Amino acid sequence: MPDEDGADKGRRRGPYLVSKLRDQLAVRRTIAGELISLANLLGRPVVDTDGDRVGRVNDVVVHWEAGTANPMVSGVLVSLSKGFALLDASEVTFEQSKVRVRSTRISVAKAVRHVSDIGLARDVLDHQLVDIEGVQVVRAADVYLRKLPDGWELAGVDVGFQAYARRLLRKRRVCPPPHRAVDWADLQTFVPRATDERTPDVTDPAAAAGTVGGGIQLGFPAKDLRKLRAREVAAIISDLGPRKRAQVASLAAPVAAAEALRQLDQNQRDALLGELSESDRTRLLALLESDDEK
Amino acid sequence: MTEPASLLPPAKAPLTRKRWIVRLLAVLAILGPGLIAANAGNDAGGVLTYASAGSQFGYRTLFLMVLITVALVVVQEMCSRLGVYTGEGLGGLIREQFSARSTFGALSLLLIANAGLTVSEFAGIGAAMQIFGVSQYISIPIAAVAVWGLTVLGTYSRAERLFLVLVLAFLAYPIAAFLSHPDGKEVISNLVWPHFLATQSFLVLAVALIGTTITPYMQFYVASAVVDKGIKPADYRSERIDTVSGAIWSDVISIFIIIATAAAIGGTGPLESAREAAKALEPAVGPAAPALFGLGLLGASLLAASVVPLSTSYAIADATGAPRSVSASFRQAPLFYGLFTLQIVVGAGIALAPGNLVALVVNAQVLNGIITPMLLTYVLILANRKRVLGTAVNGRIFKVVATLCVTVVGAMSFIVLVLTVKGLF
Repeated sequence: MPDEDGADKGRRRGPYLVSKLRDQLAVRRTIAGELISLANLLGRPVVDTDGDRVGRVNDVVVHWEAGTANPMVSGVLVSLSKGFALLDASEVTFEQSKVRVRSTRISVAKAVRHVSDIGLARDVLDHQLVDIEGVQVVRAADVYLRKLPDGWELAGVDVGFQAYARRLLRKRRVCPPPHRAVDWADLQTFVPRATDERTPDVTDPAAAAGTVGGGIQLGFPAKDLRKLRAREVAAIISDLGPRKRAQVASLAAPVAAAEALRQLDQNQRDALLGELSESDRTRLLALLESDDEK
Repeated sequence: MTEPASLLPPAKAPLTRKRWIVRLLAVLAILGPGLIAANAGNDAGGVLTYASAGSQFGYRTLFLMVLITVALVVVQEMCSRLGVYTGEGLGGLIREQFSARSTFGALSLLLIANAGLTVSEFAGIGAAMQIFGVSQYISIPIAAVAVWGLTVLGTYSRAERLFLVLVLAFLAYPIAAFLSHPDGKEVISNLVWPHFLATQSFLVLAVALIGTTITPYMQFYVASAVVDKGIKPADYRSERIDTVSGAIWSDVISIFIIIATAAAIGGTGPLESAREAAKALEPAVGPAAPALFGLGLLGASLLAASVVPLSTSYAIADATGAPRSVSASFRQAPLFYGLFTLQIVVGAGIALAPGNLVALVVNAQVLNGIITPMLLTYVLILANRKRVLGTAVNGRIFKVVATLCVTVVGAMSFIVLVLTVKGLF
């Protein structure tokens, strides 16, 4: 009977909502132990063994090596009352809303970032990335760290507006569930080339985490970048500035890159070619000319 | 070592005639973003403010305009340099370098302020066409469709060329200025030496002049347009000529508007509308005055009706990472063109609506008073940051000049904001 049906639905609706809520809580509890949101962690206290605050989280640094899909967290950059300290990941324990220092003393001496380190807040969060899987240029609204037996790895980024909107509100106690997450292995990043030629100036977080030189760090292509077809390379290239275009063009399959270049107007093609290394430029120009002859 | 970024190209061997021609051609090829961005400032609101300056205080504001020109050149140059060297617009750069909350705040304010400006641009088109006897109910919808169609359906290079032709409509103002027989000696004396008045009304007008000449949409537009046009660092010298000459040309026109009104109706008090200015000039300039003013107003309002919504679209698409290009199709860049379309529809719609709605929305321009100091500070920090601009970072002398400009403009914008808010209650 319809009435009974309706009543039944009403009765079922209550437990359904409860179970959904329970599922969500379970997800959050699981996430709480497994995932950390970088946006949620930045600015949080760094405490010593007694629980006293020694500074604030300024950045989380990962060590980037060619061939690794998800780089490991190598350290945390802490803003102290005077200057900055780069603590090794082995010296700290990451928690959802704080970073605990294991050792009793913090070395404030030269906080020099290694050449292949990336500051996630400085180089990735809010920066342009190429989502190879989704063939689009995105901006990272949040960065997630995943727990492994031997430390934390860079899991991926969130590119959804929800993740960005969360940052406008108050910080959460635990890592919010990802909304539109992209695996780090599917992303092509554009990290400024770091050099540690200069003595780090500890009053500037950028310098404390390594000095940035000109250009973009090359040589770490995303897993599937070379598999992209010409149309896909062209779509990505059209959304980037000349320097980033050049990076994508030099890392993509040459034939696809040459075809994508053909679709740009003369001005933009020249700008891209101007940013390439001599060898990449010669190779792409040869491909362009050989196609023209055909 | 960083090279100080001077406004002028470094001194090299004297240019031969052939090299001059090559240089001129290079500048002409690149001409566009800088010229268009700055000249959109001579829109309906701008014309009214400049005409009021002339009618209220005669030539006294001329020296101020010279100072404002320096500030406009400095600010616009920094923005186009940021665009060319980073390959990103201001929306994206602000998101990368500043907190989520301040980015969101700045872009929300820009969205609302630009929406208000778009309404006033369409109202300006209506007013200009009324001078020629065309009803606003006909002219505004046609203009809206034309502006939308040119930008969305046509190729942008063609639209840009048309915009550059519209800039020529501004020649109407120098003609009007000469026809009004200004006192040459007086003009020059006021241009090279300050003749300021220590009154509140002079201060308010001075701030209004700054506000209408240096407006946030110009900075967002120029930075994104140079990226969209694919201007590379190697071409920056030509782009700098475009930006600097665009800013100077725009302000020379503003100065001519002040001279025209100062000579014809100087000392009569403030004006209510640009149309009133055109009418008031008739006895001195002759029967051509309304037509000349109408033509200039129409050109500028059409230009700004396209540039202002484009700057919002660029800023927001840039910050969200969505595709953004005037060369893309609607399907390729839905957010960019969707926002552009929405602004045109709402802007033209409100401009056509009866009642005081227009006045209300135009008041949203007060928001420009909040965004200007905020945005200029962002621009200054970005252009001073080596990590953003590398070798193209602000040089030491430029840094001092730019900081001075930004501080003065920021402080003045803040004063007008306080006065406006006080006036509301």
